[in-house]
Formats: sequence, C-alpha cells, structure tokens
Amino acid sequence: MLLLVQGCIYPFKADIESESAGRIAVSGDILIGETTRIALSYVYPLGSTVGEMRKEYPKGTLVIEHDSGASWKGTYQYHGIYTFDTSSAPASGRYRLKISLNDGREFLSDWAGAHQAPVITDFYYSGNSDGVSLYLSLDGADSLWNFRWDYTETWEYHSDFIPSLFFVPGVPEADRNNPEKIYREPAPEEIKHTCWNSYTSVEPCLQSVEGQSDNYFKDNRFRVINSSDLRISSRYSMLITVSGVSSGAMAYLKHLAAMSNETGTLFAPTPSEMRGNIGCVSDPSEVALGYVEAVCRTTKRIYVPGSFYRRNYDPDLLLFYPEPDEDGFYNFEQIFMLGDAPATGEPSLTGVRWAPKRCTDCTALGGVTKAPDWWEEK
Amino acid sequence: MRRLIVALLVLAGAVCSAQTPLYRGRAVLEYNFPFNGHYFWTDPEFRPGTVYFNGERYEGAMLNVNVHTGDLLARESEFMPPVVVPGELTPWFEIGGVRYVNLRLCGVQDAPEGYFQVLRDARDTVYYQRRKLFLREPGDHNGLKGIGYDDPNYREKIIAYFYVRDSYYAFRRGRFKQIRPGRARREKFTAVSRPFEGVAAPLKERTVALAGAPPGLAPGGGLPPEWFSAGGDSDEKKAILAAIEQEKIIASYRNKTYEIGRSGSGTGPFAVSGVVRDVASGEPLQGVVVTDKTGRIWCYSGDDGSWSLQLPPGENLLSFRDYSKEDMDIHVVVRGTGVLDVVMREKVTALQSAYVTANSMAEHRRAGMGLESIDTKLVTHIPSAFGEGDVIKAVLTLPGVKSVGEASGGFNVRGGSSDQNLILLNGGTIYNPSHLFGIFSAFNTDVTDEIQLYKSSIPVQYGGRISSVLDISTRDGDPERFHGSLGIGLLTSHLTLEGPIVKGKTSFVLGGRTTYSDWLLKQLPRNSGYSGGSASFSDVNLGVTHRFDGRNSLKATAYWSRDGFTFRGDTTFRYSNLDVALKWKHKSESGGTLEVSTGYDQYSNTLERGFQTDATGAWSLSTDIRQGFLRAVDKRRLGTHTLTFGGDAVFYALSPGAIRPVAESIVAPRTLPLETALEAAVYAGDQWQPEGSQFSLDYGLRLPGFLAFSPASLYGIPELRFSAKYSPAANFSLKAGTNTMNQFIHLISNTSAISPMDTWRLSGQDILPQKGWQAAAGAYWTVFGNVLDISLEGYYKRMDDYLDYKSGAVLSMNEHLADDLVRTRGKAYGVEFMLRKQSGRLTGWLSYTWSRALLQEKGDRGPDTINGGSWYNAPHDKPHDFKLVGNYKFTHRYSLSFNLEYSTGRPVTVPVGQYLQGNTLRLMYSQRNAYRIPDYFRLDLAINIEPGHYLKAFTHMSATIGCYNVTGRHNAYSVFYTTSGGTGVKGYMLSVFATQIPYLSLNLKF
Repeated sequence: MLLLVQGCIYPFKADIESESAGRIAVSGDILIGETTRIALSYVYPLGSTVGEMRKEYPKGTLVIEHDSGASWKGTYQYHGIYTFDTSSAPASGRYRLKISLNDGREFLSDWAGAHQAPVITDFYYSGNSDGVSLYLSLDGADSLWNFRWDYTETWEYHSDFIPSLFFVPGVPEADRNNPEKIYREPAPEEIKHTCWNSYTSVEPCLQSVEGQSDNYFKDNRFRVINSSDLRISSRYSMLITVSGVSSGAMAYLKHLAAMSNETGTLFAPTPSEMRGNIGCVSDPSEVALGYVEAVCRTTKRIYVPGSFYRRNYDPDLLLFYPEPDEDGFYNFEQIFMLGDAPATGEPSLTGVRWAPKRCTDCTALGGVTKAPDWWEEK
Repeated sequence: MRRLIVALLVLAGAVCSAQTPLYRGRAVLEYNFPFNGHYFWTDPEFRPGTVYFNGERYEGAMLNVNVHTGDLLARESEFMPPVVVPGELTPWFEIGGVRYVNLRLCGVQDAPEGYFQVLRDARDTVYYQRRKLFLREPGDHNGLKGIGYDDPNYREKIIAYFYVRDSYYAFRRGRFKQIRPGRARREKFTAVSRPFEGVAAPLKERTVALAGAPPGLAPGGGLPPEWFSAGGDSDEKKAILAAIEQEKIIASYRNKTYEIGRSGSGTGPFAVSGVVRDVASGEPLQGVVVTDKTGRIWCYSGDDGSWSLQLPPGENLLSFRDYSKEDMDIHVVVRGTGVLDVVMREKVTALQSAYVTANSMAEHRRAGMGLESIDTKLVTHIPSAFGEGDVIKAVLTLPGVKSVGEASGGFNVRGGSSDQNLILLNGGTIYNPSHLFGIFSAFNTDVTDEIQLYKSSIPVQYGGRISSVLDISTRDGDPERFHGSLGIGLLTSHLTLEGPIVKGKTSFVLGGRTTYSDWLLKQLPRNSGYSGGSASFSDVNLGVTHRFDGRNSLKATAYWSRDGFTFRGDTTFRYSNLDVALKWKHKSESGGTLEVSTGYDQYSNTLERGFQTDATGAWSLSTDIRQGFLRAVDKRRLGTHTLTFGGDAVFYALSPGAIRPVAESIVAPRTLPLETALEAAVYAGDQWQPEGSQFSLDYGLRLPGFLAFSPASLYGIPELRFSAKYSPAANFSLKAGTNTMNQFIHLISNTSAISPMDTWRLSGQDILPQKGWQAAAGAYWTVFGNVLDISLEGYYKRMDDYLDYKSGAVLSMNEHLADDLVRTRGKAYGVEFMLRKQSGRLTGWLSYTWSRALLQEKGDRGPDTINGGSWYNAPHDKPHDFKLVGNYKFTHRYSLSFNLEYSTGRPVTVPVGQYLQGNTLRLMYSQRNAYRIPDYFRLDLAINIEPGHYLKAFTHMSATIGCYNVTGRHNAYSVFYTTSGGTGVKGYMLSVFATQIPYLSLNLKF
C-alpha cells in the first residue's frame, strides 16, 4: 500500500483588520563614543511593499537625555533616520530617548545605563576544503552576560577574464559584420577585473551566557562560507561590531526574531506581541515598537586569504564563439544585449570568444572597482 | 444462605417455580434485515392483545408475530426487550381483534407448525398462515412479487430479501387441507374475533417438557464444582461447553424461576448479591447493569464482577445487560437475603453493539452527569490515522471534548486546558498521554478495559484537576488458558499475551507496542521542524492478578513507555512514563467493597541541543516528576444509600529543570531546586436513591490539603460535589449538579499543544492553586424502545488562577518562573446536544456543541496587560463543534465505520502590521488570540472485517481497511508569517495530514 504523508505548507491569507494606523517603530541604540543613528518608521498594514513603507516617515524632534541633564538633539537625515553626535557622551550615568512627534504624541524610553563593551578575546577563522568558518569568543568582563554582534563582510574578487576587446554597441547596420568596427581595445582604466563587494548582516547575532558559570563564551561558529562562494575567492574581510545587551533587550530581540521567522512549527511558541521599553507619555495605552539602550561598542576586523576557494566550474567552459544566423549574419548586438561580452581573441568575425559579462566585468556582480580606504593589501 | 449459580447452564429442577408468567420467555435478539424489510406479520409495531398462555388468559399484552421464526413476541413495556412467548404453551392469541391459533395444540395434527389467522367468508372458516423466508440470491430482486417489504420507491439492488409465502387452509370432509382461493374470494375474507370453528379437539392445558439436561449436570442445577478451578476441563465441563456451543440449552434457563433466601426471613427488602462472570474465562465482568423489573432498583457490577440489590420480597425479574454479552433476564422469587452468581456468554453477534457505551437506560439511573464510558471496541472501530486504535482520539469524538489540532497530545474538556485533565492508568498518573507528538496515544487498546471520562460530575474519590478525569484501567489476564493477539499496522506493531500463572487463581496480561516510524518523518515538511529526523516509541503493560478467594484479590500493574526523536540534526527529545501500582480489593459480607492501592509514577523528559554544531554551548536539559500514592476507598450500601468514603495521598518530588553540559561544552551545570509536596485528601459521598422515588441525589465532600515543603506553604480548599436527578418517567430524566475542584500541579507551556519542552510546576508561595467550579444541567430522553438516546446538557464553568504566560516568557530553567507568568481567571460555558443510537445495524452518535472558553488576566500591568485586561479567547476556544461517529453493520463480519468532524478554527495571534527595523522587516502582532485559523473538517471511513465465528478455530484474524481524511482537506494546524528575504510578509498554513491517509491494520488473535 502506498501511503503518502504530506504534512504541507500552503500559502495563506487571512482576513485581517489592520491595527497599525499611526503606530511607530524605533530602531537603533544610543552609541556611546560614536555617532548615534536612530530610525523612526511607521507600522504599515500587512502586505505593504517596502516601497510603500518608505514613502512616509514619522517626523518630529528626537532628543537623547542623560540623567545629568545633558542632552543631544537628533538631526534628521533621510528615510526616518536621525543622527546624534554622542561621540563625547559619558559611559557612566543613564540615558533615555525622547521622541516628540509633530502630531503631538510624545514617547520616552526607559532610563538605562550604558553597557560597557565586551572584550573580544578571539575572533578567527578556520578553513578547509569545505570552506571557511568564522569563530568568535567574547568575555563579558565585569557585568555583561548578554552579547550582540553584527558583522560586515567585504571581499575582493576578480572577473574570470581580462577582456582584450570591447564590443562597440550601436554600430550602423552596414558595419555590423566589420570586425574593426564592432570591436575595440579597451583602455586600461576601463577594464574591471578587480572588485570589492560588501554585505552587512540583517539579523543581529545574539548570545546569552546567563546560564553559565562565567560570563564568556568561546569559539562560537557564527558564520560558515562555502568553499565555492566568491566571497573567499581572493581576499575576504569581516568586521564585527560587538556590544552588550541587557536581559530585557535580549529577550525582546530574540522574541522579535522568532516572531518574524520561527513561527509555525508544531512546537513553536504561540506568537505574541512583546512590548519594548518605549512608552507613550501622552497616551499610556500606546507604545512604540522598539527597544532603545545605551551601549559602548567595540570592533575587530580579520582577513581571510583566498586559498580555501574551490571553483566549482571551469570558466573556459563559459567561452563560446558567436554563431551566425541562417543568413550568415552575425548579430553581435543581440548577443551583447543578452548579457554576454567579448573575452579573448583578435578582432575577427569568428575569432573572438565571448563569455557572460560577469566573467569579464566584475562590477556585473555588484562590486565596485575601488577598494575601501581601510582595505589592507596582502 | 443458599447460593445458586445461574447461567446458560443451569437447567431444571428444584428451584423451578410452579407459576410461569407471560414475560418469562426468551428475550428476543433483535435482528434487522440489511434492507428495509422486516420479519413481522404486518408491521413492526406491537399492539395490545390477548394471550391464552399455559392455561391462563392474559389481557392487554403488547404483541406481535415473527413470521420468519413463527414466534409470538410479547413486550412488557416500551423499555423492555420483547420476549418469545413459548409456543408450546400458547394455543391462541388475539391482536387487534384478529385471532391466531396454533392448530396443532388444538388437536389438529394435520396442520403445519405455527400460527394461523382465523378468517371467514360466506362459505366457511379459513386458516391463513404467513411465512417469511430469508433468501439470498444473486441478481436484482427489487419489485419481486412477495418480497418482504412494500416500499414502492425502493430502488436499491436487492440480492437478500424476505420472500413472503401466504397459505390458506380449510377443513374439507373432515380433513385439514390447503386451498387456493382466488383473489376475489380472498378479498371477502374477514377476520374472526371469536373462537374458531371446525376444530374437533377441545382446547385444553398442555404441559410441554423443556429441553433435557446435557449429560453430566446435576439435576439440582448449578455449575459443577471447580468450574473455574485450576484443574483441566473435566468431561462434565466439556459436555456443558459443547451443549452451549450447540445452543441446545440456550433458552432453558430463562424459563426458570429461582428462589432466593428462605421463607419467613422477614418483610424485606433483602440484599440479593452475586458475581457476574464470563462463562468461558470465568473473568469477572465489570460494568454489567443489573436492574429489577421496575428499572428503578439497579446497580453496576464492580471491578470484581460483584453486584448487589435491595429487592422487595416476591417475584421479580432481574435483567443483566452488557454491551458485549447476551442479554440475560432471570426470574427470581425473593424470600430472603441470598446470593445469585451469574455467568454471561459472549454475544457473538456483537458488532452491532460495538458502539454501545454505557447502557441506554443507565443515564436515567444515576444522578451524576457528564460520564462517558467508552468500550475498547469503540476505540478500535473509530477510524484513525494509520489505523492504530487510539483512546485519546476516541475521547475526542465525544461532545465537549476538543483538541487544538491534529498531531497534538492532550485534549480539552469543556473549556479547560489540557493540564486540567487528570489522566489515570490503573490509578497512576499519566502526564504525557501521547506518542510521536500526539499521532498516537500512550494507551494500548489491547490491554485496556474500562475507559471512563468524567467531565462534569466528578466523583469524590477523584481530585487534583479542575476540568475532567479520564480513568483507564487494564483488564485482568485469562486465568484459564493462554492466548494472545498480534497486530501489524503501517507504523506500529503490538503483541499481547495472557494466561494463567496459577490456573484459576493467578493470571497475567502482557502487552507491548513499538514503532518503525522513521520513514514518516522523512515525509514531513521541512518547515514542520521534523523533516529528516528520527522518531520511535515503545510501551509495555504488565498486569498480574491473584484471586485469594471470592472476596479478596490483588492486582499488580506496571506501565512503561519511552519516546525519542531527533530533528534538525542536533536536537533530541526523550521522554518516558513509568507507573507501577498494587491494588487490593476486598468484598465484604454485606456487599460493600474496599479497595486499597499504592503505586509510584514517574515522568521524565530530556532535551539535548547543540551537540553537533555548538561545541561550547551544547547542553542537556532534564525535568521529571516522581510521585508515590496511597489510596483507600470504601463503598457500601446502607438501605437506599450507597456510601463512598476514603482518602488518598500523593507525594510529589518534582525536578523543574537540570541543565548539564554535553561533551566539551562550557555550559554550567545548573539544577533548579527540587519541589516536594504532599497532596492528601479525605472524602465522603453518598448516592441516595429513595425507594420508589423519582428523585435521587449524589453528593459528597472532599477535603484536600496541599503542603509544599520548600518553601513551606499550605493550602486547604474544600470541594463540593452535588448532583440531583428527577425522572418523571423511566426513559426521561432531568439532572442538575455542581462541583468545585482544585489543582496543585500546573503545566507551564507557551505552545499550542503538549510539547516535550513543557514543564510542570507545583503550587507554592508564588504559584497559587488553580480553583474551579462548574454548574451543569441536562435533560436525557430515551426513545423508540431504548434505541435512541437524546441528551442536552448545558454548563457554566469558572476557573481562577489559571496560568498564562507573558510575551517573551522564558519557561525553561527559570528560577523566577512566576515572574514570567500571569494569573488569569477563566470562564467557559456551552450547550452540548447528543443523539446516540446504541442498537441495530447502524450505531453511533451525532453531537453538536456550542461553547466558549475565555480568559482574563488578573491584575493590571499597564500596557503589558494581556489584551488590555479584557476577556480573550482561550487557545482551545472553538465555539462550534459537530461530530458524527457511526458504524453500519452489513453482516456479522463486515461493517463500515465513519467519523465526521467539523469545528470552528482555534484562536491564534497573527500579525496585523509590519515595519522596518533598520533594513529588517518586522511584524506587529494582534491582541492575543484575536483571530482564528480556518475551520476544521474531516471525514474518515473504515471497513472492519471481523473474524468468523468459528469457536474452535485456533486463530482469528481481523482487519481494518480505512482512510483518514477522505476528502483530503488541508486542515490548518497553525498559520504563521515570515519575513524571509526581507522583501515582504508571507502567510502560510501548516497542515499536518494534508491528504488522504489510507491504512491497513491486521490483528491476529490466538
């Protein structure tokens, strides 16, 4: 007997009444010793596109207050982001964020002391034929038991081929079978063989050691890069930014991530909305979504060589000679428009091998040809 | 005192009464034609008439004629089964002015057997006989002339039918001869209501000898000595069993009257008691309903088969009813206190009664409400996923019982949460009643005996939970011979063995189950969290029973189960149940019973995580509950009172959590403080049934106390039980009742279903006992000759200090757990309607429940207060609930089972908004449980093939072929939303069994 057990996931759309009108969300922490960025946004009905959500942002006055009476007023930048010059803010004392919206509502976060930065006791990688793993060890020093870190990856990579010819688009039809017209030698500055690209983590990495005897953890493998990933093809760098987190913020952030991505399994906690630490002064029944703390951060960067890269294809297999159509006509213009480009050979109708553009132009993969200022050469 | 042993076997003799009332005939085993025919002369309705029986004339009897067997049937009342009036003693009778005669008894030896209508026309007296022959022939016989039904619209294909044969006779020249009158003449026949003419022999009394006793029986009646003894079957016993098998002596005992006690013992009432046993095994039969002729004096047989009634002196008719046994009606003349032991025989045509739960009329005899007794056969016949009989799934088919979804352990009774049900197996507490995340229940139906769910009137001997009690007991082993059963299903197999240790005295029953279910997990969706994992379970039941004598027995039971499953590579769950118990039963001279039991229960739970991916962070988390219990309960009759009193004590040692590092992990070992407590109670209750009264009361008081040792805290909250019944008619009852309950142990969970991550905590200084009360009222009506039970119950229930959780609560290894919990008050109310048919080819029930279950946070936590302090839907609040469960028996061997369920979707909390946090899309959730998942609908079908009735066959094979979720509906277990990709919010619905699940289950008995 054939038995099919198909526990299944199906798309589902509920008839939901939006309860989001006017609700605001706050993201960002008060950064001691550096510029603080706090972002305000509205809560939108379910199903809104990111574009729709970026059309309008809450406007008002944001002030960071210190229990000494000092304050820092935010400057509106763009997309709801306010910046504060808290580079000289003291690490002692307590902070809070005050939000006065133009519609008259006023919000205050709870007073919170600034968390010291944890000590990065080790941040290293290990590599083998499977790829590269990155490990982090942190020490909470005197009082930290909850940690957060974010990372930014930057990597250098190269196109597979350095093109000897460029295709000249827009050649008059009469010259389209003239190799001298349709190909030209590129200037050295036109060749995009070396690029740098970057990615910043979206979800914060969180680790609590409250159940441990000591407030540290070591060798947490938090990132694995496959050996065929272009990131490690030449040179890779990761910058981690580490900060301490209060127990309340830890619970909030974990809950937030779980409620966004980890619901639905049989034993998953039933979803619920968790209140942050920002209340509405003008209407106690209203809250702003978010959790604002004052933190000191520390960073560390490491580099990973490209020796663990295992290309999973031979780039020569991507090379091809354009073929004429039934009339014997070479339609290079169409081939170029489809995303291919000349790679190797001398100008001729049949002697130039083409390849996908990403193989001859590294910017086709999203990178830029200028190295970051901080990039250290090998 | 004279002990009579009455059974199929007791024959003739010394105790036979000189008088033989009309209704002492053999009870009719009703049988239905598979189509719409019947075996009566004209129609099934019984009509008043006159019977000349055994020399006496009876007026006003309700009569009908079975022309298939040629029997006259008489019914004492609508609520008593019809009996066969012995034809040998009934020369004539009249129904509706039409006279029927047995001409042979009137001296017409030429006449065929059976009754004739007496007709007359202008010429002479004509005798008209109708017979219905049961024929089964291939082809469509619809419309056949003479077919035994008359529905012109019936268009089904007929291959089995009653063929009607009408014959006419008259005296011709002194001889009785068949005639063939034409239609025109037949139309002129009129019934004659006066004594017939033309019969030469005078009507006279006639003494008819009953069937002879088989060889070996003592003429004084009674079972031979050592009938149930350890010795081998004697020739005498073999002869009797052979006689039973050949049904030579089936009817004879029913025509006897047995004298109980000695004359001159006083005015009564007298205690008549005895033990009901199975004739083949000698095993005591529990739950047999014993009633007197009025139906107002009744009792159930106890665990040891004992029964006792207080009967007035004089003639009486004792009825013994059990769903799987042949009905027994025994005529007695009570002259004093005495003992009447009864042996009942298996009803080999029991399929039609597979769904009988408590006896129809039993609902009218007890004052308590909300008791559901479930037969193990019912459990095995209800279609279920993968074909494994499932106690919990059977419970879920009852009105007022719900679950949060498929593949979820536990159940919810009348708005209560799953931890508010006390689940007992042989007196031991089962904390996790499920295997494989709830796909199977923890109970092996091969060894279960009684399954009783108390959802309203909870007897005083139970306490500790505020919603319901599910009391399950395992059966005794066969003390006479070894046998067993083997079952093979798609996911599980089970084996049961039983037999004597000391023949006739000590027996055992051993049952075990295991699974081979890893392949199932490979089929589950990746998002379910189980894909690619492994899972297994096993359980073992062992029971040993020793009977010291007729009054004392000792039963030892043990249950062990283990579940283990791994998913996502580095997460492993294991949990196990262990329950051992010892119960001593003593039956006193006066018919009272004393039961003393003690035992030990353990539920352990282990979760390991990260052992493959996080060298320094891997950990193992364990929780367990250990408890020892001692219970004593005494039941005794005192006049019209049945008293129950006793006490119990449970000692808890609960480890709420211990975390340990795994391998090189640096996770610090940590153990939450052991929680210990003693829960003890004394109680007394009374069932008062005033003699002859339409009222009865059931009331009691339970005094529980709970002492938590560290830190010390003491709670003592009296509990009241009260219910009353008013029965203006034997088939109609009105009831009302109330009870209060307390609960001192709590399941801490923030998942929808019972999950392995859940933890139990005891009441203490920071976690208060849950308190609840319920008031209920209902009306119960049995109609159409005990065929249909109609009930309507309403209830209102309040709960206090039920624990819900704060958003983001940490429930595991939390020393300050109370800080993450919120105390709530709850209310639940609803109406349950049920229509149940317990006999005939079609059996089953239909129920509809409308109910609500709401919670409200106590106290004010400002904006954090759940739903602003308003009432909100409990997670298991499902207002509309419709269930249809049934079995249709085509033949004795083949039947169709079906199960249909519809319910409102359960409440859920869903996102109602979205926002950007940096570059990350986040969700804003609604108020708690403000929305619902889609409604639930499921239809299951199964065909059951029972073994043939070959009593001497060594093995009997049965099979069930079925399909779970026939319509393949995608029922939602949960709905959830993700922001994966950061580009938008997507909603999904998880359906556990999203397609038809066919199954085949084979069971072999040997």
